[in-house]
Amino acid sequence: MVLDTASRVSEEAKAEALEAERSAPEVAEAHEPPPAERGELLTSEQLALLRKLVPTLWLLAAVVTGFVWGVQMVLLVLAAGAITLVIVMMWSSVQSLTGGTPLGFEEALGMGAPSKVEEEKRSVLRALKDLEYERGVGKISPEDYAELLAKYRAEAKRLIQSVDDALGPARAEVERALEQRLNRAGLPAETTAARAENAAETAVEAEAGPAPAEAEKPPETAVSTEATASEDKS
Amino acid sequence: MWQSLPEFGTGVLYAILVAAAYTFAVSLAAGRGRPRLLTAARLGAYATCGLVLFGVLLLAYAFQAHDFRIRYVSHYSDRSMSWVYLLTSLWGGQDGSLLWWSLLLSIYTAACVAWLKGRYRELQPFIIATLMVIIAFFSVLMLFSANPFETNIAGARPDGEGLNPLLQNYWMIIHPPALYTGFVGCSVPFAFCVAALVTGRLDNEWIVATRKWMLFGFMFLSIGNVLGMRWAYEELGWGGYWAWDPVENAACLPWFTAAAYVHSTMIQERRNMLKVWNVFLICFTFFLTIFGTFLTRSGIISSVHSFAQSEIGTYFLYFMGLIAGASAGLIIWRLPMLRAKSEIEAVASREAMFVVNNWALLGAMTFILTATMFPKLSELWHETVTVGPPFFNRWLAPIGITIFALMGLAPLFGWRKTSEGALKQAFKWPGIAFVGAAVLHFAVGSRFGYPAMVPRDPFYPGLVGVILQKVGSLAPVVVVSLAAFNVAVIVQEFQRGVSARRRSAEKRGEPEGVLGALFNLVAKNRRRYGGYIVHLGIVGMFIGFVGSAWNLEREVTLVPGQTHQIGNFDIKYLGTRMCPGNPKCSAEEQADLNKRMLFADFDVKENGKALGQIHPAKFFFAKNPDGPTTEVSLLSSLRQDLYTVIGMIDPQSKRGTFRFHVNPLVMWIWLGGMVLVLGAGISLWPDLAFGELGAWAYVRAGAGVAAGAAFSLWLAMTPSYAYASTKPPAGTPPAVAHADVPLSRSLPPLGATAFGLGVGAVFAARRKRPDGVRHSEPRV
Repeated sequence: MVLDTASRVSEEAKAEALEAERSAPEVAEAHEPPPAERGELLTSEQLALLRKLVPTLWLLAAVVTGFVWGVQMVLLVLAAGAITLVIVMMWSSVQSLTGGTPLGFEEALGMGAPSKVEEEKRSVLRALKDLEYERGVGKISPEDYAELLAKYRAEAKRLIQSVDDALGPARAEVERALEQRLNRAGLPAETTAARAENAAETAVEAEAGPAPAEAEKPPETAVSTEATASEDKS
Repeated sequence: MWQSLPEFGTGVLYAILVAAAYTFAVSLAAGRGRPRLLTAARLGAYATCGLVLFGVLLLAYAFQAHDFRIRYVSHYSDRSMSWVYLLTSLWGGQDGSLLWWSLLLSIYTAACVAWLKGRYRELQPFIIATLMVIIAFFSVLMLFSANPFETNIAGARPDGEGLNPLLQNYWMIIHPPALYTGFVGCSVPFAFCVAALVTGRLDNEWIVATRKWMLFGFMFLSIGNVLGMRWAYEELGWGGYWAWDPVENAACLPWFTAAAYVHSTMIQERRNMLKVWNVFLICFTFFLTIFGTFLTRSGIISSVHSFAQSEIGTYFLYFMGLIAGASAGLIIWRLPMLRAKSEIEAVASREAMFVVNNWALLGAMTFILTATMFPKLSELWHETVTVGPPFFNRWLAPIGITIFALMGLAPLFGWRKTSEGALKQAFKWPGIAFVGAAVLHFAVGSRFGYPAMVPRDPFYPGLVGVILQKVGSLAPVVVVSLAAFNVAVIVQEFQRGVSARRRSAEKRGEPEGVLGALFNLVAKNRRRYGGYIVHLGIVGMFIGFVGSAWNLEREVTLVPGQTHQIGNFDIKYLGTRMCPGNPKCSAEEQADLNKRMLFADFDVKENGKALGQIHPAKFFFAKNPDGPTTEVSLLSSLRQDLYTVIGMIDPQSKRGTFRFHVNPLVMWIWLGGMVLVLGAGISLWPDLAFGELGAWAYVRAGAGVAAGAAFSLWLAMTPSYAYASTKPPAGTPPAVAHADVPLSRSLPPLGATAFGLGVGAVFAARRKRPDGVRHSEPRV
């Protein structure tokens, strides 16, 4: 029953994530109406700034109060801040419960829970890393190392393939939605063929060595570029 | 509004219950296929935590404002107390400590909810729901049985009764919060476990997250227990640090299961085994934290630590029943999914060693639990049996030695199976260290006052008694040899790791120096090498524990001018002074109007060389003149402590009875405790560094601050609060009516706390790598 629920959750999460993506503000920033026209008082950047500024000011007020009026007043200032926080949080919670607030983009992305296979993949990759360490410090015989390495690599390949297979339909769906979105925004949508061509070029560049500008990139970025290229190739 | 503060406070407790219930319901709805509601649940959780904070701030305000209408405030504070002790009074009694517990749980909950953003999506609703149930339980407890805002029946009193003098101690300021932080920290792994069992997502990923939280709890359980030992050592005045008091025992029980879990979880991650065992350990650890609280607060056992007898024990019994029933039901339901996918292939493997280690830790825990409860259980057959410290000490010696040996053995084995050649190579140097230390101890131990064997009386008649007697006699040499073995294993592990790293770097054409390789090795494998540093800390603590085998204790009566010799110390009794009033008293002592202090002054020489002065004392608090407290005076060194206590003194003749203890190697316990915490911190670091999630940064900052504060207090209290000094009190500056602690004494704690805060803040701020890449996946 719970597994059924989990799959339903996953389906709903996907649907909501797609819906959120359709309403994501940063895709067509140029065409986005100002917050006042959307019925909102502040932009998301202003809200983020406020989220940091208000607690800082609150704590600052408590410190100043402490120096001027003593510990009792500090506690009252802190209590006032705490109850304000409670009101804001509870109000937002009820708003969210009744559908009064739109789903945030990051929140929607977070709904895509990693599948069981993805988690197994991570586990096997960790085991491979441990195995390398044990070989390095001489805690495992060469025969055992070879046997375990083969076993874990086979398992990792199988899991990576499963993840790729599972993601295939979703990737196609996302690409389709993205193309539609770009078309609606009046931006030139890159066709699948063109993208494949570009990906192939990137892959060739990666094999030949990074371009001067790319050579300064941190390793993770380069790896992720390579991974994207290979995914696109597939 | 402030005219009705008690009623308002009670209203806040109701609000906490309502908010927790709302969040619980929304979380369950989110978990039943409405993921959109998760946002509402998360916000509800924050609001609930905010309400608990609000309640704590209200109570803290009531203490500072001396609102003696509130029963709890009038019981645990008075107008003479400083604002610091007024703050610590929050957890000085039962009702307030429950609210404090709720606050810590709320902080954990808020941190966990923030950390969960975007991860463990399917588990989240049930994690939040479980944490809300625990918060709701504590709010029910406060509302219906231990309301910290309850008013006095007879109305407001003109003044309060004051905090128990035993609790007006630096260590008591930090010991309870640290221990509670450890106890409460076990709630988060339990919530993860329940969520994994409910959803059926029982793969190995959730266990990775759980391990971090459990390690955090384990670190604070260690800090709390070590601080408690230090408090008992300095404040209770019986000469030791652990009396096997039921409440002390209750505090250490979850430490054993948490330690077992952080080892067995590695087997699950690596070999996909012991799933049932791991979920059992998590549930049982949480159960033990509640059980420990039940023991302390129900009044079913008598202890120096326990709170007054109350009816909250019944609530705890129901809650423990709920935890046990729900955990057992969920585990049985999910048994098919928890079956192991592999099995132990060889005895000579790390997983086999870990399993034995787990059983030894569980054995120690079960023994302590049974012995602690035995007096109560024996009442069932109308015969009260008392279980005292000698019983624990005799039986736990072999169990402790077994655990200590396994701690050294396990790292020498590889996973799955270890070849004979690899084992021989691994055992070579540690084996030599073991034998060498034993031979050296037998050869020269007696010359330094630490003989390899100590005489022990037979505890029981028959074979068991003889075995226990022999083990007790041999314990010093065995522990010292195993300490050498463990240190050799740790050094060897570091050496092998550094060599492997240097070889690998050489192959890559980027050679590394020894120090560089060591730094990089620890930085890249913090969990593993942090664990070894924890082991090093435990070695230090074991050395401290075995020091008790060579303790000396004397009770003597002296008149001023007489000298007594104990060990290599010559102690000359100079006389007494009553402060405030005596011109020899320091300015600080003259200014203290809350108590009268009777000091006995001694000159101390070690091997004929002047070492300094000690001043044990009796304090007579104005609020409690008939119950003077005993203030210990210590002279500490790495080798031994000279520990002195006043028995009684004739005010006319100044003739006094004193107890002198020479406690070898005690300092190693405190040093070992600090190394343990350092190691646990390093183990947590890989998951905290490059933190993609703000919450961990705050947790890290908290850990930094806690470590800094603990270290600062350590500095401030060394040699101790106990008035030991290397300068005589004569010639101290004239009395100045100044109640504050001099700035010079405040500088070390302030400096170290600032250092801790700074380190915490720096790393809390490091939320992104310099390249701006955020890591949300484990780095492989």
